[in-house]
Amino acid sequence: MDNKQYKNLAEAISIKDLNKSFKVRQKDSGFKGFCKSIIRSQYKNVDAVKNISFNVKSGELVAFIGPNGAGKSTTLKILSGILYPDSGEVKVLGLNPQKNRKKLAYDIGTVFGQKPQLWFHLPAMDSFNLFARIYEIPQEVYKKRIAELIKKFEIEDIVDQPVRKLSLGQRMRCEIVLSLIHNPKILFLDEPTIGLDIIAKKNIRELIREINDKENTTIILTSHDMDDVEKICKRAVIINKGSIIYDGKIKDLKNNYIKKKTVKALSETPIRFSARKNVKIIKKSEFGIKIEINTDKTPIKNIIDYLLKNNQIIDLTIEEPEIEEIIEAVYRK
Amino acid sequence: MALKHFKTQLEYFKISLKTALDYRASFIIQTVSMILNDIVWIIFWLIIFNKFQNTNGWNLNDMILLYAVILTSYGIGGVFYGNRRNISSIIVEGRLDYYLTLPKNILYHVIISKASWYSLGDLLLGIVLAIMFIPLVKAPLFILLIVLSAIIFISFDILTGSLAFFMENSEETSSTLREGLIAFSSYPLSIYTGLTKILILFIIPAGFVSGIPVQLLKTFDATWLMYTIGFTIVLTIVAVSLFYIGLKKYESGNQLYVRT
Amino acid sequence: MTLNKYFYITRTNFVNSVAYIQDIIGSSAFIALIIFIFVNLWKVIYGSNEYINGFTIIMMLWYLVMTESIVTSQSRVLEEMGNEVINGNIANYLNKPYNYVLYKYFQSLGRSVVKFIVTFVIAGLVVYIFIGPININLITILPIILIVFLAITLNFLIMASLGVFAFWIEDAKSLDFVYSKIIFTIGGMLVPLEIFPKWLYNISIYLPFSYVAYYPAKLFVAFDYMLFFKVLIVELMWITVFAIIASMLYKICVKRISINGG
Repeated sequence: MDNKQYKNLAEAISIKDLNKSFKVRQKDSGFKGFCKSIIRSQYKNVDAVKNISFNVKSGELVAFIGPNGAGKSTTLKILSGILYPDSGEVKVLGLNPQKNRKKLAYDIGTVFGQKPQLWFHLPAMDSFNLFARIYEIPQEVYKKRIAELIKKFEIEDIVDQPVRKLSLGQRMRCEIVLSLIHNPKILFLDEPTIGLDIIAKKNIRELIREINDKENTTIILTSHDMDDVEKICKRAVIINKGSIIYDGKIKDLKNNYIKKKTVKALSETPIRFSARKNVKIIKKSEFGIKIEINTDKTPIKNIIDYLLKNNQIIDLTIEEPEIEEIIEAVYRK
Repeated sequence: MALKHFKTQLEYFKISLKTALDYRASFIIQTVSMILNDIVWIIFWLIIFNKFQNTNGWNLNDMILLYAVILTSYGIGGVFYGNRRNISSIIVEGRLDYYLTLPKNILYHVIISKASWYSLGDLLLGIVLAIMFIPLVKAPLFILLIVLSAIIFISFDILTGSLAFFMENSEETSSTLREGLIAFSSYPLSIYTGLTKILILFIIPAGFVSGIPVQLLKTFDATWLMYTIGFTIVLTIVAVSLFYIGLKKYESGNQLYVRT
Repeated sequence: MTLNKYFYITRTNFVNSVAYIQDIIGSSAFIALIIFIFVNLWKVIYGSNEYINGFTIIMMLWYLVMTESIVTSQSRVLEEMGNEVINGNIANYLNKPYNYVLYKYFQSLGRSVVKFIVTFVIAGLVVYIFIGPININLITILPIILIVFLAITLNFLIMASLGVFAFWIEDAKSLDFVYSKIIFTIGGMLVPLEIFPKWLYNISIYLPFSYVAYYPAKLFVAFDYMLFFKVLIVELMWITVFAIIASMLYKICVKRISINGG
């Protein structure tokens, strides 16, 4: 697919009424169960994805989030053609991933944080060369492209070292370069910053945004890291128990749900803190307290200042809500 | 288009070689020990044929032809299509997904993505034996035969490997069937009678892999050559179909195995 | 250092994993195939002859049953031990209150015995169906079992001694491979040593390998009291030799590994 076609596409991804369920083998434990399973296998039907629909425009940055087992990976796998749906209409770049797996593969890139594609014992450069061949990129085009990418991702010094000798952050940068060699129109990123330190995470997020900016690559990101989500994407699709429970701007998500923070404090002297508006005391003991603050209404600074001024604070923790909490909140609403 | 496929294969080949040479001592020892192993067997047959006269018409020369055929054809399979014996474990360990996201024919991509350097020794020795013992005039026939044998070996591996799509814990079964094929192919094939002959022709196709090629190299027979070609084609079609049927099942996601 | 703890180790490893059971089924099926091939081979070679080098065809095939059972019972031990050497796991055993070699021996003993029995039964079944049973004097069963047990022990100790070399060549599989070829040939696994040319026979009977396969199987099919006592003594001798070599080599190896940090 050339760039002009891509730009003119109404939707890069369109999903309509997608359904997918699995038959999972039921294995009873113990000897009786073992005997039972030889005679006749028991299957339980598990709905992974129930009637979901959403569209993604070309060049969008979408975060696809949900707790484990919510149906994220299933949906991603269906989009990349690895898994077939039970029913529903799926179009990626105008093509049916089930029927046009190979054709689509030329325009899709994937990065799985937990399943590296780089060859472990060899320099990243060798993997790059391999993928250039797999994607049938003409040598002149490839040479230019890889030089660009290496420069942009600042991996000049490490491309010739065996991947096993690189740090996690360096490896991730190389993995992302690997996924971009063939100039994909859509990039699926699954936990790209897992295990990275803060600096490396920041670095990766910037690079992803730049790629989207420069090349108009559609980005689908799954991550359990809310910072990843916030800093990279503009739109979030939240899935839970197989259904989409939120599809909208991240700004709105933040405004409605993420503006709560939890503060835990431990004091040398008996803790002093009284209830007030927009602040909920979750737990209080003689020397410690756990407070939930609506940071939209009360700046967290005020609470912290008060605590520090009126107590001998020896430990202070500020926590953001877990994604599960947000989803719960979304779900409840 | 085919050229592009070969270019990919070449790249994998380079990578496999690089990885192997990283452990140079290991690489050399593996190749040498394979060659020694094969030589030991040849010496063994030398002793046997020297001592015994009754072998239903097989002699040392036949045995050497047999080795030339199977070492070369097995070696080709191993060096160029090294992942053919790992299909079961690739399926079971969820590594198929790597191939499914890339724009190449899945089965082909799987089998070329590794070179098994253990087979290099076999290949080299097979070629040496061929050069030493097969007259030049028979060279084209020999090449045709080893291509057919190689395809039979590979297709058989694909067939047994694809069982993993349908059965749990199929690895031992597949492995035994594969080793069975190699075992049957490496002993003189004149020793079997009746029902066994059918077994080694059609079930574990040792007959077509080494028995018949050796006969054809001794006395050419167009009919048997046709049979061999026919069998090769049929086996290949069956094997590849089985793989893709299994792949469809895999992609429908009925989880025999956990896929992360 | 009570022996009790070692028996406990044996028992624990006895009932292990599905993989173990699969391995036994797989190797038994393969052995059945090999035996079947040899039944055909020997049938043809014997033709109408009754004896070859003193062996009847029945003796020849039951000989093979015995050698295959002994050798198969420990078919992956050398590779496993070699791999433990390569990845430095053996350093973990440094601070444990037992001898590494002894530990490994008892660990594999349970499995070896089971594998031996299963292989013997399956291989024996194939020979029984296609050729027939062997005549054995029941009194000789106990001495034969003793020799078989010693042969398995000797096989283990030789493999333990070789396993150390995996460290230098960084490959355990080739080591296993080469050793198994040695046993195949001059250990007398495939054919009795009498079949070989005289010079080869003379060399092989003085090497320890023939005491792993050839002698136990020969006693099995052609028991002789003189031979039994001779083999008993020589087995014990080789076992002592290799036990000492193996222990020494592992002490050195472990020291090396812990100095180099694994």
